[in-house]
Amino acid sequence: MYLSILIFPLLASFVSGFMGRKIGITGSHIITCTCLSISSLLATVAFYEVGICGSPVSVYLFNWVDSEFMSISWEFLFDQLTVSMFIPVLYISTLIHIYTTSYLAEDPHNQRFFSYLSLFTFFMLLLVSGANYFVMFIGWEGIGVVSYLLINFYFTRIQANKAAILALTMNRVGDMGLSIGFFALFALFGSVDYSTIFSLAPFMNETAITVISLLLLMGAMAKSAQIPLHSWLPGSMEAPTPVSALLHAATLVTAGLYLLIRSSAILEFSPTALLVITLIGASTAFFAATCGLVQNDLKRIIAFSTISQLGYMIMAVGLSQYNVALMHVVNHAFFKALLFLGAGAVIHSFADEQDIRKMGGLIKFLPFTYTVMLVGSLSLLATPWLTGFYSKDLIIELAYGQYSFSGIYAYILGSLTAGLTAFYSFRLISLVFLTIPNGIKNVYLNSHESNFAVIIPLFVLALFSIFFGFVFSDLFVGVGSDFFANSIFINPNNIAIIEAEFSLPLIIKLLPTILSILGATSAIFLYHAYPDFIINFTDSALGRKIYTFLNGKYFFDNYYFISAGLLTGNTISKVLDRGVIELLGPYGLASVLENTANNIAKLDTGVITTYSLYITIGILSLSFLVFAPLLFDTFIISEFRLIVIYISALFFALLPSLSNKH
Amino acid sequence: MNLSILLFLIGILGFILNRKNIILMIIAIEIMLLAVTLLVLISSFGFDDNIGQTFSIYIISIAGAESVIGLSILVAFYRLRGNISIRS
Repeated sequence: MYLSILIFPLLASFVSGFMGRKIGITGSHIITCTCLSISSLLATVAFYEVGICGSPVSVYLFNWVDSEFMSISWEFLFDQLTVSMFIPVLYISTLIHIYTTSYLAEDPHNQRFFSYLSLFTFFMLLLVSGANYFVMFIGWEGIGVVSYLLINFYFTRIQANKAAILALTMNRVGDMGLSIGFFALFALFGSVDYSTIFSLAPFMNETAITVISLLLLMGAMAKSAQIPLHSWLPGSMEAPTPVSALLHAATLVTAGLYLLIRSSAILEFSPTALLVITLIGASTAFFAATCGLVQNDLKRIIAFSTISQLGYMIMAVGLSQYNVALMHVVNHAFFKALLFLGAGAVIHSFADEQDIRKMGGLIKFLPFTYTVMLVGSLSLLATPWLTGFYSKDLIIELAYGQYSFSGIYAYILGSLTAGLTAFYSFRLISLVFLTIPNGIKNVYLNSHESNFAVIIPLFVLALFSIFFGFVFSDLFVGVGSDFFANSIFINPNNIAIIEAEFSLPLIIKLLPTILSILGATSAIFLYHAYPDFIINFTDSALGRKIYTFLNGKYFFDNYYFISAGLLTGNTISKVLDRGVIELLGPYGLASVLENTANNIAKLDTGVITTYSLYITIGILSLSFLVFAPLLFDTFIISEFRLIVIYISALFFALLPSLSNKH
Repeated sequence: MNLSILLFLIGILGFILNRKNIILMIIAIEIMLLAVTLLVLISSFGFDDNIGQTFSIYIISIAGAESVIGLSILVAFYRLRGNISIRS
């Protein structure tokens, strides 16, 4: 049963991809949706068996690499962490398959799209269920490739090409770090199996563990879009909306989180790495939230919100609260998929318009979509007792509960980010749904609610966004819950849940919520009731500067990467590639060999007396070598050294004189 | 023994340091051979060994033959080229 969870999406992908011509559009819809549904049902059973009944499953298939003492096998591990990842991946994937049947109904490449979606699901499942880092890495690379294919789905559009290449190359940077991390893991532990590594981690050198953790973090940073490898995620919004919802909000970007959570037994032994992770996560959360404030593309706002939420999760990992990070992964997957699918529904019914400045007043035309978007936004900004509240609020409290520098840093940035999140979420709601209509009349007349294939996934996701956190919070993050058993390791020194739940001052606990409410009301106030203030503000010099700075994403792409990156590349190319390496490597080696060969060739003069000189010198050196031990009374080893010194001295003394002579 | 080694050195140096004259080279070779012969003679005398003395006679005769061959090549060479300089 456990393997069939993985196999069904793969089969669906093959059938839809290779036999798309035979089975037709409807056929591929039916087959992929059915396979994914069966997989989801099986995953539910797996969640019950493994998660709730607490019996992890390990499946050994066969050996993969068996070379000397490196032994890697195709082995799968279905523990509590894996099945907890199965739930969002498969549920959301299934719902998005259903959603896409309607969303891409008019597209000519339905089979290809569904094949990619199913293949992505398979690779994601492979990623979360591998029992060693290599199997996980196959899934990791697989989702990277499928992400490229899906962003580039409309491959005739230059923007899609650029975004896809950007995403792939940025991920390569992280993969490079991750690969080096695997090498380091193998060098240190002699194995890449989770079981071996995690049981040996406590006994290893802390510096080595830190290096490995940072390399793993590098992989996670690229996949989970953390500073400075974040800019592929907003770019990948070129993909069709279901892709954004499935890959770039709910599942793919959580692969990095999964890697870190899975590696908890390593990370816990390196406080330095944890500190770095916390700082990166908190900074990313704040950075992305401020950028999201001034984006005008409907999907890009949600994309920045995704980066921001991923920052929260990374922050939670850095604070050693892996179970809370996982809870936020799951919760975020539900409400972010909901937001994206809602945005897709809006875009679709509004003549494919994505600019929120050209929308407005859609509440009257799309009441259902408005409702689900509102639910998603409220869940996102951690309104009490909605799904997001149970993880996001807890992360901020846990940050304070650490009573450390990084904890306070994370708490302050986390609270500010909570306010900013509320602001941009409600800015989106007001500009799209509430304000006066700013679009074309014809578009409004043609706008309509979507059909059932869209409404049902939205409805289900809305239910999850409301109730999932309430139902599962005690299981995942409750005080003293042993749900995760051995799949997550938290160093007893780092447990902060008691502090966070029972000993924080009330104002600290309430601050994020207060800031959220403040942000939400001020957004509605500024964009709906009194829009003049924003207009006047951006007309002033300072306001314009701030707006440009934030809208340009802190000039990360334009300044830091493009110009600085090109400059660095130029320097490296000149100094390293065409400089040192070429001088020492191919060019230098060739010239040295050529000169030596020339010098030796010059010895061959054709004059008989010169040859006699060589013969004499040869005889002399030979007799010297033979009689050296007698003369100097040395051991055989020093005699051998003498030979080497003598011959080389002869060679080098002879060369210049001969080359000068002719 | 010292005399023979000295002679051998003279022969070698004469062979190496001489740059033009091919007759000198043949003479130097001859000197070296004679030096070796002398060495053999002295050694065999020292060891009281008749074989060495017999052997030195062989060497002398072969050295004579060798110098004859060298000189005749030289004469033939001179007829062919018109000079006997080493560097052409």
